[in-house]
Amino acid sequence: MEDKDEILLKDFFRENRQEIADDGFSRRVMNRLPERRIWIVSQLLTALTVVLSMGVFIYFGGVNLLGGTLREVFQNFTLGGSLDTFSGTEPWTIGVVALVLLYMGYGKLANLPE
Amino acid sequence: MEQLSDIALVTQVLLTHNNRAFDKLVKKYQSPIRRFFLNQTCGDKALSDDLAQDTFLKAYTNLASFRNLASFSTWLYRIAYNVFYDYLRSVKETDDLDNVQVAALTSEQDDYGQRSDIHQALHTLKDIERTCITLFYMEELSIDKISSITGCPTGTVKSHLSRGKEKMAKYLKQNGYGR
Repeated sequence: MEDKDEILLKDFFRENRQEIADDGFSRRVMNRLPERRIWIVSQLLTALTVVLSMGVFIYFGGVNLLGGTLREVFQNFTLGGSLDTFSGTEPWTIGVVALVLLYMGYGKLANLPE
Repeated sequence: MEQLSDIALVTQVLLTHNNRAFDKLVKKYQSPIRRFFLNQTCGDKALSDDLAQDTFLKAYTNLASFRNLASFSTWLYRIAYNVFYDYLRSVKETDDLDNVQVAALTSEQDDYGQRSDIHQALHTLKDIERTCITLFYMEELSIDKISSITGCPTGTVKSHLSRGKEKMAKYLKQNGYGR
């Protein structure tokens, strides 16, 4: 049989038990996750690298070179070329590439903010 | 069933870095963890939220060490307990602990951190007694789970509970409860 003090305390704690509303707490926690900070830094580094690479590419005449190559490919394709570009590639290679792309896509989607 | 869904969420975080799964865990456990700290700090809302944030960040960075030997909630309470006692130790090194408790009593309170009878009553207990009493009566955890969380043998937990109960009952009776 429970003593009077036990009953007193159980009733007291039951009456004083409160559910605390989130009020942005979980958002603050999610914003402070360490990986998120690393992710932001990596995104900034990626953007910086892309901008620098594009600058170097344009500076050394990459645009003209790319235009010439594309023109050449287009001419080869229309003047007797065929769609056997991937004929030398083994099917399992394409399968692995597709799997990796799917996994990366899922990872991106899973981490999109709600 | 609840334990299964927690494990599923933990697995998703670990394997696919799915942060939404961790967000679900934070939303699910924010209330009991913040309530735990609110009771340990005798109603200091700002401090409770800071310590609760630290708890979830530590849980996230150490998620791989969750081996499912205990339930996720027990594991989380264990981290919360360590965060709180690390905080007490750090304060003891720089200041007298009594000053911290006085600061907690006089700090600003708002709606859920309102200075209430429960925090006054809990203030009469020693830290470890307060931890055991709130985990047992407020969170309704078993003595075995409290033992896992605090790292104390079950006999010691029972002693803390007995002493804490005696002190609290005395305080409550003096303040008009239980008549």
